[in-house]
Amino acid sequence: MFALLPELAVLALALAVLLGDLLRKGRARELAWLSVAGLAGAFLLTLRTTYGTLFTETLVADAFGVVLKQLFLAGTAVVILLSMREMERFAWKAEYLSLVLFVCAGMMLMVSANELITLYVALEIVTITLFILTAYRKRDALSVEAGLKLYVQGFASSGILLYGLSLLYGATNTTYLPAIAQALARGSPTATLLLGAVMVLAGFGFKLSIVPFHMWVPDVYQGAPTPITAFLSVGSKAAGFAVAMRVLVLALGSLQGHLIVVLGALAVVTMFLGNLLAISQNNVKRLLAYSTIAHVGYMLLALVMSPKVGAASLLFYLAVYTFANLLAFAVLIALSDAGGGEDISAFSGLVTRSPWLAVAMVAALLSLGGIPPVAGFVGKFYLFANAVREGFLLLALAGVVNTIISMYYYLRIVREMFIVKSAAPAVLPSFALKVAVALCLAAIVFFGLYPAPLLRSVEYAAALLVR
Amino acid sequence: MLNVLLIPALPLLAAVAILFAASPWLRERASRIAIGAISVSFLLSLVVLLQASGHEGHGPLYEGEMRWLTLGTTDISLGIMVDNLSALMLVIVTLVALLVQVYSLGYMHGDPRFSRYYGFLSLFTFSMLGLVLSDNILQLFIFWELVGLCSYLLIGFWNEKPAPQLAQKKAFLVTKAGDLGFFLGVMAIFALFGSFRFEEILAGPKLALIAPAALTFIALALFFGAMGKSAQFPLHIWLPNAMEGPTPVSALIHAATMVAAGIFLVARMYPLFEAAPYALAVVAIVGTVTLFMAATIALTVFDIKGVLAYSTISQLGYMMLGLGAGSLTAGMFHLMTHAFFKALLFLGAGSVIHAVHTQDLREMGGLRKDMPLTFWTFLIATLALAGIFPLAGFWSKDEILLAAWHHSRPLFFLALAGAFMTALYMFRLVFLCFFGAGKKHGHESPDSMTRPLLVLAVLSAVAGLVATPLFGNWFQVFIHGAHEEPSVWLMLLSTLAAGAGIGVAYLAYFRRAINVAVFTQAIRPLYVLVKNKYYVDEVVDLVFVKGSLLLGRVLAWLDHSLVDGAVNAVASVARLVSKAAALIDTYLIDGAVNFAGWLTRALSRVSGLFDLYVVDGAVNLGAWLTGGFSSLLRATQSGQVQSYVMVVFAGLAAIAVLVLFGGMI
Repeated sequence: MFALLPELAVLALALAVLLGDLLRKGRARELAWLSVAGLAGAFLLTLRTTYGTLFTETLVADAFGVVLKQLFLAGTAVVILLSMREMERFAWKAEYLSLVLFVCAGMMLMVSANELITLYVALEIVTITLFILTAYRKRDALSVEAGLKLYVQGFASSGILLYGLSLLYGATNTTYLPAIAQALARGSPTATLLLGAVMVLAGFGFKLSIVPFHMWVPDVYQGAPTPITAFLSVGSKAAGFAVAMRVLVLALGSLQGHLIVVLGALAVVTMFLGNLLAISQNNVKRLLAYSTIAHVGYMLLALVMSPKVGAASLLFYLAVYTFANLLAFAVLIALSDAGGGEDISAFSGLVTRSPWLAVAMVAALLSLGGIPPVAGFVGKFYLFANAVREGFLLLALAGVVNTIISMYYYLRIVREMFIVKSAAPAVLPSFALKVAVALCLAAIVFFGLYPAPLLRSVEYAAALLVR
Repeated sequence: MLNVLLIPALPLLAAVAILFAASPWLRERASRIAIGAISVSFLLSLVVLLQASGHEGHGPLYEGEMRWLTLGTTDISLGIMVDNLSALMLVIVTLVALLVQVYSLGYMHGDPRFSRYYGFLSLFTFSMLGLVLSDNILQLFIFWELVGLCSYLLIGFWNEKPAPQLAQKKAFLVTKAGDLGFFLGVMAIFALFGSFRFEEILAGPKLALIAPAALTFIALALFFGAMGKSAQFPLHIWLPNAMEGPTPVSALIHAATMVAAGIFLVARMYPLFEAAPYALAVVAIVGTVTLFMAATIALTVFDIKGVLAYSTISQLGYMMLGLGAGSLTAGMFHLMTHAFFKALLFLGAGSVIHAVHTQDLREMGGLRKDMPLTFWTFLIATLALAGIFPLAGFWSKDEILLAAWHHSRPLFFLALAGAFMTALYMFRLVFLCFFGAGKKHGHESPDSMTRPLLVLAVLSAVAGLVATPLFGNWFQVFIHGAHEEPSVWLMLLSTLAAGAGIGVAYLAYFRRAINVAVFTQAIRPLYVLVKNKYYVDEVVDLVFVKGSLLLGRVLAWLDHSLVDGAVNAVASVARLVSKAAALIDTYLIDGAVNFAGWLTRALSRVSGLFDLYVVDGAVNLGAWLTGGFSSLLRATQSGQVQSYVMVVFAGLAAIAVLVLFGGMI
């Protein structure tokens, strides 16, 4: 039961925010700070997790899940800090906060799921709540359109996923992940099982925006409120990869021989398409959307590797990617809050208008591009080096080539900030936004210079995951 | 150990203090902080060099490392290693950096970003020192990227103008292309050796066990990186543009130190290259092609820094030829002497530009009288570069020519022709700039600028002697290179070539006895080819820049048009329905959102999730939905949810077929 304390704390927090709003109207700002403090408390609770299974083994508490939960809690706190200005435009402020917290709780359940039905329910908690959050700018046609698009396609893909899960159940007679792995180990795979696995892959592919299931990403990212876009680009990707790791790599591990070519091909196609299409974008939200697709392509390499090495590479990459991407979004939000819009031209001359934001953005972009000394370099290096060690030299090479392509559009923003002159006024971000920027910047610089502690904990988690 | 750590640490501290300090007090003292830090680093480097010189026995002088991260079972460490090679580089880098920073006091005086300039210079010096001190190839790669970044920042230092912006981008991208090869080599090294450390790669037992083909691959990959940094043909195209940066920067980064990093890389990995003779042959050939082509181009350029830029490319080609021809000593020796006289030439050119405010040789002339100090030091450097006895360049160039003679005769004769052209283009520059009728009046530069010139002039004159019997062949022993007996006839031959070059320059540009215009007219096609720098830029632009833009556009078109188009054909009937619905919806825009939500809910309730499982069903659903909120979709024009869902199902079907029936194909 104690293993579930962080999730319970987040749920309680969500309800407390709703109640607090009932008691005292118009205190959204205080409630937001309360949420951040509560998330920090839940973070502390994760440190005391006792490992084991819960509720007749439908949930599992392990080090793998804990690392991801900590990532979600930190990420959600940053998203709330980024939402301060955005929230002022909403009629329903406390509800917004509690929905964000519900998504966080759902993601934490997702990564703990040890059983297919629990997994599906947790996944739908996240997905449905995100539909609502995506369409939260009710008066903005783009936002509503994005919500509807996510809704339609989300359910189409949920259908595929559910069909796949039921085929897995039909083939193995169990919904428990360890039992599925045992059942598979006994015989050679049937066509039913393979079809089920492919459908599960496609279902996850949608959440992860793997090409060709990526079509929703640019429109939805552009239309959603920007903090929610940031949330989508990190949180749901991390949660999606975690369940993909548990289901596709661990439970269905014996099918790896059948899936490996497809996964490798999807990885290469995803990274190339994401990067090449990002080049021609002028809207920074769309640009970051395509960049996210490219990063998903890199991370797919982790699903190809042997489970232990793959899990460690994935966790490390996810951690550094989360902070770098949130940092990029934070700067974007600071600019659009100041009325600059979301196009690349909003960044003009930022170095004179707000030097610290410009420096933070450079750090974020260098990290996303994988250039030392920020953490993104270590993440890419660790991922690609492990791929080489596992014998996937060509996949790693594709990754390196893509890294170079991606520098082209990341540097476009740097150029805009440092070279283009602008008469636009100085940017004065809110205190909450400064806190978020400082947190993410500190994380990527620290893990870039001294990655050893983070590496130790992800390697420990991966070692416990695969025994 | 601490004294070695301080050498890179001091410039780093200076850079951090200058760049990130908010206090104006610190900022006003930027130049003093930077020069103070580099002075101490230089003195410490001198001590290290003396220690290394007296160091008996094998192995590095200093070694130390700390664990950085663990990869599987392999520890990756950050560490420093001082052996004779890095001790020599330490002194060269800190000395030139010190002189350039003193010179910049005068040259950059009054620049609005004076303090930032010193911050960048200190950062560069730190990165370069970190590069030469690295004890493993991965760390070297990291600092390699850092010097690239500093070079980028300094080329575009005056970024109000468009030319430096373009130049900095070009330099970054072209060297990045080389870095791709370098990185590939680093990865291959790790895959084969299981370590990044130089000691384990170069001195360990594995070098003899790995297949020669693999070693050749690694060596060539690393050399590709070196080609980018050291501006070897055809990756040399960034260096002439890099001259858009301030002239002292050109002297430090693009003549003496950073561009020599490629030479240093090959020298550092020399045992590996020696084990891969084919790769070494490629190094020699690329070096020779570079030295010859760059020398021909230098003959046709009228920009004073442009001539020096192509001369630098050409001399880097000589160094590569020396290494490729099997003489580590020759390559490193020329690196050292070249650092001194080429830095002097650039600083002298900067002094001229400072005085006359133009870089065009045709607008100069007769400056010998106005700027005597600049003239005499410039002349010494020119003679050293041309290889005139007993100045520095004479000894180092002869060492290269000797190695080339033993390696391959065709390469030797090309290098000899290069020596002739070197003397010719340098004296062309000297005659055009300092002799003849004065078109503009100059004035001698301030002391802060001329004193570094004097120091460098002394070094350019005498630095070559350390590799002569006069000093007991100290340099050859120090570098542990093979020592070949100098040959007197070869010295005579190279002096003859240089003398001929000077003679032709004298006749053509001083006495005007040879009419250059008539001569160029006579060889017009060749002249046009050289004048346009062999069209390398144009080819690169066409193949890589235009090519990738085209690819991007084609892919974007595919993503937008083709996918949508295919679905449009399928759903054209549905479109008609949706148009009709759209007409109604126009009057009901306010209700559209609610309507769409209601419709979707109703639909999902009625048709149930099961409909979605079938491809046809999904397309139909898409068509229905289009009818529902087409006004929304029309407003944003894109959208096409149905096409998105279509792609999802098509992708699913393709993957399923691949996985289920892939084995049969």
